[in-house]
Amino acid sequence: METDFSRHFKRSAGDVRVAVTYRLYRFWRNILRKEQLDRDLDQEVHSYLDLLIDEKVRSGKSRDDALQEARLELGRMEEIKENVRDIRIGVTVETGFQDVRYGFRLLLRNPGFSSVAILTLALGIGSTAVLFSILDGAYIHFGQTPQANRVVLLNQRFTKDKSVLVTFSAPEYFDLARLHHSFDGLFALHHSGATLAERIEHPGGPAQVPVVEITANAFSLYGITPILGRVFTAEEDRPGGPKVAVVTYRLWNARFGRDPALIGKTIKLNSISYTVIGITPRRFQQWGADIYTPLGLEPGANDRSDRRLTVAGIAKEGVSAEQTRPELQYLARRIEAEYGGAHSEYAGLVYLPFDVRAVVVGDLRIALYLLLAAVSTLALITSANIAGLLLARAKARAGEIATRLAVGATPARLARQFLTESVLLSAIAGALGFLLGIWALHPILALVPAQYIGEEAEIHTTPAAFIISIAVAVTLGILFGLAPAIFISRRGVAANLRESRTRSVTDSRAGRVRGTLVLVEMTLAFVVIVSAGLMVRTYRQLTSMDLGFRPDHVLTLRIALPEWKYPREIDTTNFFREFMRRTKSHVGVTDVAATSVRPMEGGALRHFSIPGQPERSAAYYRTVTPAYFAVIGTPLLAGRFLTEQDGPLGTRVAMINERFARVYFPNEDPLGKQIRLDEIFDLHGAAVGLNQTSVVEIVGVVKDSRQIASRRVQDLSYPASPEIYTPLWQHREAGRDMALLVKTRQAPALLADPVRRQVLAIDHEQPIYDVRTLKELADVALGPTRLCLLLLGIFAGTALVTACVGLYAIVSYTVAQRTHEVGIRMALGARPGDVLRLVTHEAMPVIAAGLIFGVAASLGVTRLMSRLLYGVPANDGATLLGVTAILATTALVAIYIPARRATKVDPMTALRCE
Amino acid sequence: MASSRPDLLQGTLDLLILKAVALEELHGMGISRRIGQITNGTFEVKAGSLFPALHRMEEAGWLSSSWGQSETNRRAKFYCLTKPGRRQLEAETDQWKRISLAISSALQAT
Repeated sequence: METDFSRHFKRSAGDVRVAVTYRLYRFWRNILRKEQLDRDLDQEVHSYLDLLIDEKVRSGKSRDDALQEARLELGRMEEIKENVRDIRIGVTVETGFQDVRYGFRLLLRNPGFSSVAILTLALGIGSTAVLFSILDGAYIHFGQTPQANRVVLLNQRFTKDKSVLVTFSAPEYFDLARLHHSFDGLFALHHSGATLAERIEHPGGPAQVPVVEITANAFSLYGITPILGRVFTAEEDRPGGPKVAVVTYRLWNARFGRDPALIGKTIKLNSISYTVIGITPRRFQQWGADIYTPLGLEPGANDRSDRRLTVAGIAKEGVSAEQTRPELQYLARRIEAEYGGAHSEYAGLVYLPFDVRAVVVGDLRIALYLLLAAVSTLALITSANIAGLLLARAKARAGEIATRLAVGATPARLARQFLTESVLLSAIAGALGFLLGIWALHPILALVPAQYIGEEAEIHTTPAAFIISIAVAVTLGILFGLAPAIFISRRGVAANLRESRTRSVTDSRAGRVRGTLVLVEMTLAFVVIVSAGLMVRTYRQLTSMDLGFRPDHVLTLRIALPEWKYPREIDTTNFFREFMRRTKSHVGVTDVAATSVRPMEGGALRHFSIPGQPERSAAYYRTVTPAYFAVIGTPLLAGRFLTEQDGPLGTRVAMINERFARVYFPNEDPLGKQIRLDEIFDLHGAAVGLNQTSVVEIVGVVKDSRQIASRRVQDLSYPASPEIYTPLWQHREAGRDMALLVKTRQAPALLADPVRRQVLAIDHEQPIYDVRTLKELADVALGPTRLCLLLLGIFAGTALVTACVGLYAIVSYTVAQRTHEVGIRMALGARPGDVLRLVTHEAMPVIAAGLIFGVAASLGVTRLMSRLLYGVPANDGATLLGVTAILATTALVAIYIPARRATKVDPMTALRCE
Repeated sequence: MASSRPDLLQGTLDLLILKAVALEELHGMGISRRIGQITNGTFEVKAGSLFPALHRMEEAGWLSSSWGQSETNRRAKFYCLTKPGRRQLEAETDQWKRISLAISSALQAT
């Protein structure tokens, strides 16, 4: 009934409209002339009291009685005034300002506490922003368009000879393109390189550019439109079609100075003229190309064994690469049924889909998730710690709080003030953290090997990262502001007042709360430190890992000799021989070698069979010059190295690695055995080998070396693959595009320019490309480990310090509270040991439980990071033991320092301080 | 109605205050005593509820205040009805009459 009435009255009250200007006037008056209003109010209440007294006196009471009765009737004066203040217009804004001012004063009064809290929070927030920015740039916004995130690369596996082919023939591509349903569309492409020349004389000299011949539909499937000109049409994409080229923004920017007049101009690729018709958008950098030309497939092509096309598709929206597998399986069955008769390799055919985005990013994604989890844990530890410290401070301020409650402040008002204070703290930390994030992004990104970041990726501190930092900061502020706020509002005036007076009695409930907070901190810190420990061990395993070669002091580069200029094998041989002769005599160079595929690059596979063994297999295949093994430092295990005598006129020879010998000649001496080499195919689809067979004799066995085809640390645990090496001078089939390895005395990068000059001295039009040190190539093996190592290390250190600060605070507080008691006990003859026990009895169980829970939590959680570990199990006993020791020692030091103070107490002083 | 009841029906207090100052301007204590008088002692308004109500109604523009001299020669703050306040009083009086009529007839009905 009451509510009905009140609704009636409120509505009628609303009928009478008071001018907005009047309310605004009151609002400003309330804020700006607060002192005067308060004075006014005070006088008004006092005058009320006086009038009451007058009334009582008039009715015949004595002055004293009148005073007492009047006071009783009036009630609590401060409470009345507080209530009046609360109904003033604009009161929320006004007290908000007041809280912020007050909060600042408190932060400044405890600079140590404030700066530690702000810095740890800022570290957490800054790291979150950096990690999220990397995740966003490298993975979430992998490509320029959403379609680029759904690119699925197809491989085919032939069960018969267990080979996996990354390439398809034109009829195979047409079959798939016709039958699929899981994709927006499929497209085909072919990699090739070309020497680019244009009419304008370019200061950089001739350039070797990656060219991708691609089907016309790819551009629309990717959802891109050129920023200038147009892309080629299906009409142009036919055999004998017009020679048109689409240039990437990267090349346009680097080589043509973003000249819009390039459209319609002619460029020469391997001396064939192409008309530039379009420029791709800035970030479109698919398949490593700098120039796209039409693939020009023959629609009626029926040669199924000419497999040189890379086939990929854009999965339909919401369909993952994995989800296309069932359909691909069904398509494989259809192809097998239809063509299996004529093509025996189709027996048991399997199509394999690969999520290109996941392949590129590899373990980096897992690492970023791990680090984000770690930084969240750190944030929890930090906020638990700050909550604990604020709680302790709230207790220290119990007297002040009690007074304010007594004079009429509501618990809600006090709670709001505490919240303001902690939100203020986290807002400062948030701003600082974001600056830190912007500053640290590039140094941190430099820890990730370049191979893990897609070419299209554009990584910068994103607005989303900013929003997340702020959200995290404010959430944390509320989280740790709430603890003391709840604590205060639960306790009445009396309890708070009592708290302010007592010196020797400990509040068991607050103690328990604080103990629990520190226990949680210890447990979480333990997990973070164990993760860091596992990463340290992984890093040590990786850096001390035997790669099978020595990556230091080797400069690598590639040279592709154009066919129109070097038509015969003897021309290319002469060029490379001359290059190596000149380079070897250069100051600072100790040796030079050439190879078809560099170490650490998956490279080409070659089918082979061993006479007398029925099965055909495939192995990694390289053609090398004799100095190859000396340059990369791979030792010989048996037989001999290749020599200059293994030339075109000598016996056809080959070397194999240890793994090859073990797999194919298990209990025999491989030396002198023969291998029949069949067709060669390149993992990149680049140079297609000739279907040329040759029989070679094994003359030497070298040590295994690491191959990393994918970007996963776990792959390092797999045994090396079988490898075959043949002398370049005997196998020049694909010898037009070679990698050169230059062993140097000083830092290899310094020799890049001298080496380039050597090349230009032989042929002033010949470009070199893909110049890298072997160390850079080998770094891919480190994967995201360095990133994890550094960040987890920082997080672990911070977690350790934070947890110890929590422990330190507990003991310091106990010591401060019980100084009096300690004094009495010491006066009565207690020894320092007894005192230590007395003041640490709260902290000791927390430490013990923290270690136990920490071990348990670590065993449960570190399993999740096992994918990033190498050479150490996730439940590594030594790491757990080590971390337990570190944490226990630091914790004991943290409690000993304040505890010792208690033993130094002078009984006389302690007793007097009451 | 028990006078010890801490909070009057919301709205009722406002109406009573408006009524009390409708004839002449009064200070806080005067308003409290006037309400006791006109309700035959049924309502006794304590300072704890009176002050917030007075200030709220002043913020709302129904009352205006000024310092003056009390009958015992003390400085006191006097409240008087503003124009919007008078309109409010009329509106609330009408409202109240309708409701009390409705309630009385509801209670008399058997």
